[in-house]
Amino acid sequence: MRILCVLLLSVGSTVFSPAKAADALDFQGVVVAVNGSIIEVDRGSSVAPLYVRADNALSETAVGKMVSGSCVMRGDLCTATVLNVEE
Amino acid sequence: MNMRTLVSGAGAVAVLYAFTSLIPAVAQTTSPFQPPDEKLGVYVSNSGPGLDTGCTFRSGGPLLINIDVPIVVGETQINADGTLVDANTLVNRGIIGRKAIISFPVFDIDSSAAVRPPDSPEVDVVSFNGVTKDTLTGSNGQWTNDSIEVDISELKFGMPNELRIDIDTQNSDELWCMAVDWVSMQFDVALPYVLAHGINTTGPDTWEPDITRQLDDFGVRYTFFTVGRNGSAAANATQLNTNIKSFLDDIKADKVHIIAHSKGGLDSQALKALGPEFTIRSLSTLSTPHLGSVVADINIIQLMNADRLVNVGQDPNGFISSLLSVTPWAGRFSNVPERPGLDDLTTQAAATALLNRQRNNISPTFAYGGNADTNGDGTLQSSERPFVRADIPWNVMRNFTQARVVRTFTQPGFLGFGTRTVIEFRAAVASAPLRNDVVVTANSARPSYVTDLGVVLENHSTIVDFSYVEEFLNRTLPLR
Repeated sequence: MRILCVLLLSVGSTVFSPAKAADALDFQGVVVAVNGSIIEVDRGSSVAPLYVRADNALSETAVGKMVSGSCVMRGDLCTATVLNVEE
Repeated sequence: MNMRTLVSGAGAVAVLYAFTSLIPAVAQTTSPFQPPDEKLGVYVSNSGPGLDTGCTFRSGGPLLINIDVPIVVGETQINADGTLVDANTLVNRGIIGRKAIISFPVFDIDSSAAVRPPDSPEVDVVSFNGVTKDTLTGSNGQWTNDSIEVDISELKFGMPNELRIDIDTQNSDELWCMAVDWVSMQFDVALPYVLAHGINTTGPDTWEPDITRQLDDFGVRYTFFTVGRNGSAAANATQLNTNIKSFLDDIKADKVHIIAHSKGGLDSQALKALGPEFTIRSLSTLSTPHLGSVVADINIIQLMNADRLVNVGQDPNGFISSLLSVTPWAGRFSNVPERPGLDDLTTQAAATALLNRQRNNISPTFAYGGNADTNGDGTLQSSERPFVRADIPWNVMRNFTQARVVRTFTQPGFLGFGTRTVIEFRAAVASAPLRNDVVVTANSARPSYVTDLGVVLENHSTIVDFSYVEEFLNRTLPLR
């Protein structure tokens, strides 16, 4: 039921607001670049890279590591509410 | 997989992973727009800082992209900072266009995004060489071929021009990213010029300082080279080919205008016959012996080392005899035209070259001929002579059209000792006096295949005057 609500919210957001705001998503992929607090996540060849802003800046050592999390789109940026980095 | 949580916000929700495909694409590495091919007036920056960065947010910017533009106008027309000294004059002369177009495919410009306050749509500010020009427009997740127009006076020549893009300038938080694939700069500009000198001289001796100074003032891009002083047209053409190619490559040009004095015109036609990689867009000649010279005919006969030369044609005033006996053209003094270059100046060589399409092979060709008899009295007065006995070749040029060997034979030597070689030649008398500049007749300088700009009252040296070069410029500048 909870998933269904989120689904409806997401679809509604997509339909009624062409802007990229308010789309929430879970993501998983590999960090390909770190620029301050923004990381570029490669989620596979069939999906476009995702730009995620973490509250804490990651170091360049994060490049190549697997990350996953949940974020909310605002503009071109997905602001992470949860960001897990592979140890 | 061992994971640690870096950020943990409230209200984290689970979304089916499949829904991630709903998120618009935000990065590409290559746009669907191909950059133009570089050539004169078209310059491209397709790699380096600021390009192919992936979708870049404000903290990754500003994007600073350099575009190198070579010096395509006269080098003295450029200020120390690379801008034009007098752009208006160059524009009014037709040397360079008033505007330049700078094109650049940009990615993911959300300039029309509907957002909730306090967020603003994407506003990316474009500046060129430090001057704000425009804001980008485009579409979400799409490549757009954007462009700006700048005044030609804003360009820097011979040094990098900077295109700057300040990303997402209207939001306090970073919201929008964008990318640039390549940048091109395009403007209209006149083709460059090459000056080709004649036989038995050099580039500097022919063109400096008068012609070069006035060409500098005029503003076109030009250069000159020194090729074989007495080299054959074919050998000099090979040198010109290499030198001109290098000159043109530096400014990405593939076309050139040539302005030639005397045999330089023949060298240029021989260059065309080589099939160079570049286009000779026009040839302009000052007293080039397109159809050869009777004096060269006689000089070559003299250089055959015969013990005796006999003119079996007419020589009513003894002009041929005079030439054979005293003229410096006879090759008896230093610093006179020599073989093999001299061979290309004969009327026979002209006939052969025309037959083989090694002349009359550049269109258009503009030409001036000279007449050293400036007062028109039918004689070459001392004041009209470029050297003391210039009247001798002038009279031969005026009264004869060609000289050809009839036969060569040997006969017993003096008192029967040994043998000696005799060359008989025939000098053909002109049907009417021929205007000439002491070296080349006006007819030879202006064959039927040229655009005839007339016969001017100059000798072979003084015809190298900027007033005639300027007319060539006026004729050829519009040719791109």
